[in-house]
Amino acid sequence: MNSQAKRFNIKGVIVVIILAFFVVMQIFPFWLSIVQSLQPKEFIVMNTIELWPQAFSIKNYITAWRDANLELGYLWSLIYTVSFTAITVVVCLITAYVLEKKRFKGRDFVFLFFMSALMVPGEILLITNYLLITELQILGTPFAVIMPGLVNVFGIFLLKQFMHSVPDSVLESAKLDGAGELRLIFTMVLPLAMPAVATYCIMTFTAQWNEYLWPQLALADSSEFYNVQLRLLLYRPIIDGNISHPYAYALRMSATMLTLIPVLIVYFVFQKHFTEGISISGLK
Amino acid sequence: MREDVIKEQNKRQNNAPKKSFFIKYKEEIIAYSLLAFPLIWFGIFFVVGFIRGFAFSLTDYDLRFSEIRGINFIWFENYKKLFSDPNVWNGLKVSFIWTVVMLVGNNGLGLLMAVLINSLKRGKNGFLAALYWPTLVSAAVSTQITMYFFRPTADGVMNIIMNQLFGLEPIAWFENEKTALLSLMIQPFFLGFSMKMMIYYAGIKGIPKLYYESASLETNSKWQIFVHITVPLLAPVVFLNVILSFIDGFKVLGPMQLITPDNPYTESLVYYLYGEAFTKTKIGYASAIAFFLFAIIMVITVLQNIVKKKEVSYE
Repeated sequence: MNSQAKRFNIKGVIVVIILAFFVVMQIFPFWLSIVQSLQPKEFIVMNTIELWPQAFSIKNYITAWRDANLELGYLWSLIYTVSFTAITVVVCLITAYVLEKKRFKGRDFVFLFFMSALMVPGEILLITNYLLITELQILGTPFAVIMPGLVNVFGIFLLKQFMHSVPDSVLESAKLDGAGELRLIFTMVLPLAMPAVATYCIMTFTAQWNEYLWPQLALADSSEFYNVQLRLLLYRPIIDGNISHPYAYALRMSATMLTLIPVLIVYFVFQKHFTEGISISGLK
Repeated sequence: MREDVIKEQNKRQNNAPKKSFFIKYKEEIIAYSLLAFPLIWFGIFFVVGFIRGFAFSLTDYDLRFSEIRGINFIWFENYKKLFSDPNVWNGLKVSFIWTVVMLVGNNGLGLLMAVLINSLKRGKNGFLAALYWPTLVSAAVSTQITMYFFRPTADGVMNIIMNQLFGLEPIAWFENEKTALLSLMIQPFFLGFSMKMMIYYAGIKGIPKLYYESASLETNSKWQIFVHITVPLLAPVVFLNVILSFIDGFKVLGPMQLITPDNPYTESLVYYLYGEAFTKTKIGYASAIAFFLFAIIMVITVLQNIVKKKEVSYE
């Protein structure tokens, strides 16, 4: 028994070592980037990889924040993510509730109608949505960024799946009290579906924060409305007339970390919700 | 929308002769008035977009010339042109290489990590959290990091590593035919398995405990239990995710567009489509490529459904 227990321990140690290896490997490029981003200009040395910064300098972050115009980027990113998330969660909640809890003619057809979206690649819609916002003459305005995609099929599916476990009797009793449908949704369904709603909100928030392709097309040349991601992509500092000067990369890495860190904070605070989406939707 | 409902209710009370209609279809009226916005919005941006996209693919629509010569139906000319376009075949090749590498890498590593984490006694959630965060890294951030790593100069991180390990001369990673696509794939290969890991982990957790309990009566070997219980019960999950990886892989655009623009060695099908649509403004032709992509994805989806049905009948 004793030797068996020991052998199992060794196996366990090997498993932990393999897992730790992958954890380190995923962090490695980001670690090097952080080190580079903290190096003051005079300490930047060619031809070596530094695993620890020679001096901690927040100056690069201040320079990058200012030069990349991240302040404005943050503002617009927040406007896009908050407004998009708020609208889409209400729309998806109402749709999911109706499809899950109401009995009406054509319900299955409506559900299939929404689900058909999962078959079609977004690339087809990229072209037609671009033409549509051009025709509506909102190209280059913030409205163009959030309009398509507000009715999110994944969100409907996720919330509908979750509401399946909410007993009808709870809603029936509220209805007998004479509550209207919308009141019912916001006072009864929303609190009951809160775990799924929170999960969908956080997933949408981060996805929207990270989006670059549609904002790039929708905003075209209106760079005053660019979000953080577009500002980061545009940021190409030139040091001593050289775009690939090592210090230019230090600044780029500073800007990179400034866009990544908010999402990582959200992740570590709401970590549970990120993994719940997978189990609720039964996406397997 | 709230007002709609109230109006509906008022109508019901006021229109005495039609009362029966409103009572009979009460549920339908409430349901569809609540669904009005999602249905209309989805219809405009999705259904109309899809139909228009197909209609455009049958025309010579070009944003730059449409005012002069208009939009003319040329029926399937775009599709004919597409099959003899070397850029489409090059794009297919690039997308296919990318797809296979990511499919194998992300699913293989994801499954391995899920199984290893599940075998742990303690610290499962810690490792899941420590391996899942890369799903939040945006395309713009990973672009910056890949560009930093694969800088063409001697002081680029990858060039230093290659020099220290193998004594290689600096390589212009993105310009070289052999290394261009490779250098784009390394980061997504090692950072892209997190999502699959989580899905497989949820899949393993979803296997009823009952199976393991009854199997443990038969054998003591963990390996036997893994091969005879976990593998067959997880197989459908793996199959579905391999298909999804295939579809996702074929839609790759970000790294090609952001890191190596206008580089034929890394021009994926969707990046070619993107360039035709938004740089060259050939909406008609680009739409045809988009529907060609759609056809590929549909074929894969149909094949998946056939295999899935067989699986069910096999059980």
